[in-house]
Amino acid sequence: MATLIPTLTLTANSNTATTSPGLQSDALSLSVTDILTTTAPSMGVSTLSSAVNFGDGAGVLIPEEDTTINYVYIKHLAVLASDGTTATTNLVEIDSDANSDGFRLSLGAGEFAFFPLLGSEGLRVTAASAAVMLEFAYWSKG
Amino acid sequence: MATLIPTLTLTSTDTTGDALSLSVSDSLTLGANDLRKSSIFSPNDLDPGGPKIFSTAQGKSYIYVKNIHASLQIYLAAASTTAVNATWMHLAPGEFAFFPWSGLVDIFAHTGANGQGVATAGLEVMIFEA
Repeated sequence: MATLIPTLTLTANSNTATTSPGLQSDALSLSVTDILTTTAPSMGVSTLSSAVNFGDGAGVLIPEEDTTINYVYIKHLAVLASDGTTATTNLVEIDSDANSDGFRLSLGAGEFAFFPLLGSEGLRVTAASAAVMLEFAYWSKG
Repeated sequence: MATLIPTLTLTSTDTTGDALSLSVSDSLTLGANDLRKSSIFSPNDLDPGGPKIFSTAQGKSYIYVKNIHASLQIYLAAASTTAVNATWMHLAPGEFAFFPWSGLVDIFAHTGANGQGVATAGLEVMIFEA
């Protein structure tokens, strides 16, 4: 068993700020943290193409055969997988490997997500048009 | 249009042989509606079912959820209807998530199979419309 500590902060200026105004008359500052127990298997922070194939099909990062809950981190690196340097805003859609459950995340350039994925769902990524580079990691819940 | 800045930090000293310290941040431009919804829900134990916490009417959105119930598990299900097997996220007490949602399907919340009970005031949700 190991320990993973995620911390999320959400901040926004007040809507009267002269630079990067926020939504409301008061500034927003939210911070949450947790202490998660994890176990093997896991995948450390990795850089990969949205079209990568680990043997379960193109873009399948976690197969549906994985029955454990996984803490997932994924980020759109905003560059094409073809050369790793050309900037792109191609959206990346994230859904289930089983593809029958309807969840749909949509990562724009530079956007990221962190969430606990239910077991037996799997995770599949699909880029609109050309494949893009992603940063990805997951840890099995202990 | 408003700006929201999310920052995620992941740290660990023992998930691998080397310590982990990752920090990512973004500057998100929100939609013309400048809409933020902050809500507390009480998911019930109907699966499929439970309260709808996100509607497709909002389109693409950035969603923060946290299970603030003392003991019950909370599941999120995504579907245009409350379809069976739509559950995809499992939040244990204290766990949270942040993700950009496509806005193509609704999201419901429940506590699992019948008999698990109602997580009264157990799910915190913030939605920022992209």
